Amino acid sequence: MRLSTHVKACLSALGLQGALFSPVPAAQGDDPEWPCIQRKVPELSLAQIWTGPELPPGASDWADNAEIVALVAEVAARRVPMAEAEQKIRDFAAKLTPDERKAKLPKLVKGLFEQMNRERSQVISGIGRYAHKQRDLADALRKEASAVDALRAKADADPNEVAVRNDRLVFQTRIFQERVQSLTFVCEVPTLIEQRLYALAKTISQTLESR
Amino acid sequence: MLGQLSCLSGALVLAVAVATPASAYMVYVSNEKDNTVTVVDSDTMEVVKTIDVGQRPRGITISHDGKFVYLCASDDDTIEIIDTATHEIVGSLPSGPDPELFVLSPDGKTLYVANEDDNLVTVIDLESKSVVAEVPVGVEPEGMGISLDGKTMVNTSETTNMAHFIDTATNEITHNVLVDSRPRFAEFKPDNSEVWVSSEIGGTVSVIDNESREIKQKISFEIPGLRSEAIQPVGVRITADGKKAYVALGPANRVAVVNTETYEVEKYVLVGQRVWQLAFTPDQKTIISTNGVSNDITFIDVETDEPVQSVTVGALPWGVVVSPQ
Repeated sequence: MRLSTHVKACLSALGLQGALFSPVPAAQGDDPEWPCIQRKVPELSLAQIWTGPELPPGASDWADNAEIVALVAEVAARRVPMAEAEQKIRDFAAKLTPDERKAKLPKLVKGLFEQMNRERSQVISGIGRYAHKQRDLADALRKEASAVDALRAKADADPNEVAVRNDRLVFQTRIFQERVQSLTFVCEVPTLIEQRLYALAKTISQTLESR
Repeated sequence: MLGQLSCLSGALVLAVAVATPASAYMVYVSNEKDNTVTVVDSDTMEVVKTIDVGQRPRGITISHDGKFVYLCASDDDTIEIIDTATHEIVGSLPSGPDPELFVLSPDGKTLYVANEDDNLVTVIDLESKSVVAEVPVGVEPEGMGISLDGKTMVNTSETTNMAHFIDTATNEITHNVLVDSRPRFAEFKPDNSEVWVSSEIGGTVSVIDNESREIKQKISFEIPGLRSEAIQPVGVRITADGKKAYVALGPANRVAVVNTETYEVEKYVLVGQRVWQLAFTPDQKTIISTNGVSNDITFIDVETDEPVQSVTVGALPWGVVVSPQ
């Protein structure tokens, strides 16, 4: 009996009656399902991160250059510390002649932008799916809580079944709660990618300027 | 002897003058994520000191004599008082829960605080450090602006999407003006004729006529090559001569410079990532932006509207205030 009360208190604390996911209301932007406080910006624009000279049309062919592709993959990865990634860019530039730098560094900018923007967009759609799943889970929990209550109200209810279903409900509620907490961190990921991309682009811009 | 003394005092005056050039102001930046305030010298543009403060510091302002910095430590539900001479926290004010942003009355005696969690504006008397009134407003109050004569205060509520005009004599709401989604900041034009209210999600600035209390103009922003969702207006500041307005545009990473006569955007100044709040130096030669994601502040020359220098501060810089001298 006490367990069921606990589950109900939990569900209510988690806002299953109203706002679903977090104590902060979601941004009322173009997507009503978006669960983060940060406004949904589905894609980045180059103008947000690139402050250097305009990129030549040839920069778009970055994927044809194996060396650039490898460097993009290496420095874009968030497990590589920023200082190390920045040094890799400087080392790469140091090996180039001035003409090569003018041709290759814009490719690197374009490659990083496209790769990290794609990764960021994937995270954003992932957050959308996460939110959707959470909503379904909330719905299922609400139904199960009512069902367990109804079962318990019956005089001939099997005490074992009540206990098993109650335990399952408590467990699933805990999963739901943990997912609510994770959402705060998940919502930060697009910003982390943006922050890294901006810092990498700044390093490239400085490398171009200093020559 | 007398000659020696006057010579000595002359040398002392000279030494003091050299140590503190007339144009040096102290810039105080609240860093939301690492619970610090960074102090930057406006002349050398270097970090002078980092002060440990309460949790989630956001709104920041300074007393008119420059002796005390007031800081909203939002998650500690308090306003901290920092002595600018020692950089120590010397006291606190009863702010009510989750203070986010506040404004000091022009006479420097009263602090109006937006309490985000309980939908109130708390009015604090600074001398007695006590709450003198609580004004119920819309859901999630945030932006706070006050007229130069101190008679009218405007608070914006993020969720209700309104600018509430409050008569400071009675502490009662006299007008509610509906603006675009998630209003963040309210700034009076120095001649009191208009109030500019930014809307983060709506992507606009509403110019409200202070006499009719109606929107007379809506300013929107378009930046070539930038998606409209990235343009999120937050901080607004208007020059003392009332001619130019600066609007921080969040993740557009730019500050818009707006002509206050034509309401046209004259320039977009690229500064850093997620531009949040702005503050002028008292000589109005420089405006400083906080850039939350790139963790820096940018000094912009007001005459040329060119970015002069960026200085790295703490994690997630939010608010900024400059000492009066």
